[in-house]
Amino acid sequence: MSFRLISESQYALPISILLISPICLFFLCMYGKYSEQYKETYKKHVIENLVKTIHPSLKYENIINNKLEQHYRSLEYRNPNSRLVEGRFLSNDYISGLVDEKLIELSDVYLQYACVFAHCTLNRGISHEIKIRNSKNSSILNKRMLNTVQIDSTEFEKYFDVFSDSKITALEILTHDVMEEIMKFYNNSPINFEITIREDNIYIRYDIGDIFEVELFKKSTSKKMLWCYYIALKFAVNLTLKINKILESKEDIL
Amino acid sequence: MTYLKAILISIISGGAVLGILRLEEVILGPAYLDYIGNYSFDSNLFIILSFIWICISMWAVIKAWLYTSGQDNKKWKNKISRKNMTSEFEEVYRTIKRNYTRELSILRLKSIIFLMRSSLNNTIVSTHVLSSNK
Repeated sequence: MSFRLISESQYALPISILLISPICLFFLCMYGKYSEQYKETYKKHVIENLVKTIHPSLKYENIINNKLEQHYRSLEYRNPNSRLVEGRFLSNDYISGLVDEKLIELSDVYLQYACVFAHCTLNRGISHEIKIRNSKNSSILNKRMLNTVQIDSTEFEKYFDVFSDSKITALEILTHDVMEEIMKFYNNSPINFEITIREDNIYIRYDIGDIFEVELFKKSTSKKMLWCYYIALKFAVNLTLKINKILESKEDIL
Repeated sequence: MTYLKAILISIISGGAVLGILRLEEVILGPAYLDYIGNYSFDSNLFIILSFIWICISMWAVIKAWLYTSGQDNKKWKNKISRKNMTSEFEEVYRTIKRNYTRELSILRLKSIIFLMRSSLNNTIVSTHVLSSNK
């Protein structure tokens, strides 16, 4: 009845717009509220427990933080147009813990575009820098040029480019075991990633987009997505353990 | 590919619906419209429908552009293979699913119901206010 009255009126269009706009706004506001509640519950139950299964000491926190900002900016990542990635640093998921007494941190990063960034600490510092990139990604390498290093493994070279200012150090760190771990992650996931080893830090940037975010109208426990989170974190932990083992066994690595 | 499909579907279906509505008015003329009763094709409705259709099409085009230009870095999601999943992960996933899926599903359902109910209430109130003002 009311619709007929409205539709017959000369003010039909303004009235319809007046009616539709607040409803849309209201719907969006309420959607945000319920969606946020749902996300919180999902993170608390699913992500917290997923993280614990990778290593009991790892802890997930759903907090707005900038704990990894300094590390992230120091790497001077560039976008596909070779421009420095700049802007406001945002992050709202943070995973951290001590694995073999070494700190491992992982966080989502929103800086121009979303990615995931991991920072792991080594037993001791090395004086040279090593960068490992997917071959197709090497165009976005930092311009502070390092030399390309030829690796013994043709299989590894097929998929990755290695850059360092010391070939010897790069070859000493990239043992068969380490390369196998990287290849395993590469084969198991389609995620683009890049690894930087600098001083006593390992940095891994996963081009994975925003993580741990679920939508109210979408399936939350997506097996494929959980698998990606699982292997990304597991890879950071395993790689750190393996490189630390190398540094322990070869004390002459500079 | 998904976004290309979305663009095509939104443009074709939206265009088809609007085209049919317009054709009905143009071809059949006022005599037919009088014949079927008081129904008349309101041009305001046509404008609203066109506006919604343009919005949907624009959204699909922007999404497709982001996707093809690489700024939407979710392309890799389609390449995830279940074959690579380890038994260790399968066990973890089973535990999570067993313990939390039910709770999350209930919460989601509740949220959707509350959301719909609130929106419906708002619609009823707005309509009532507008019609009583007349």
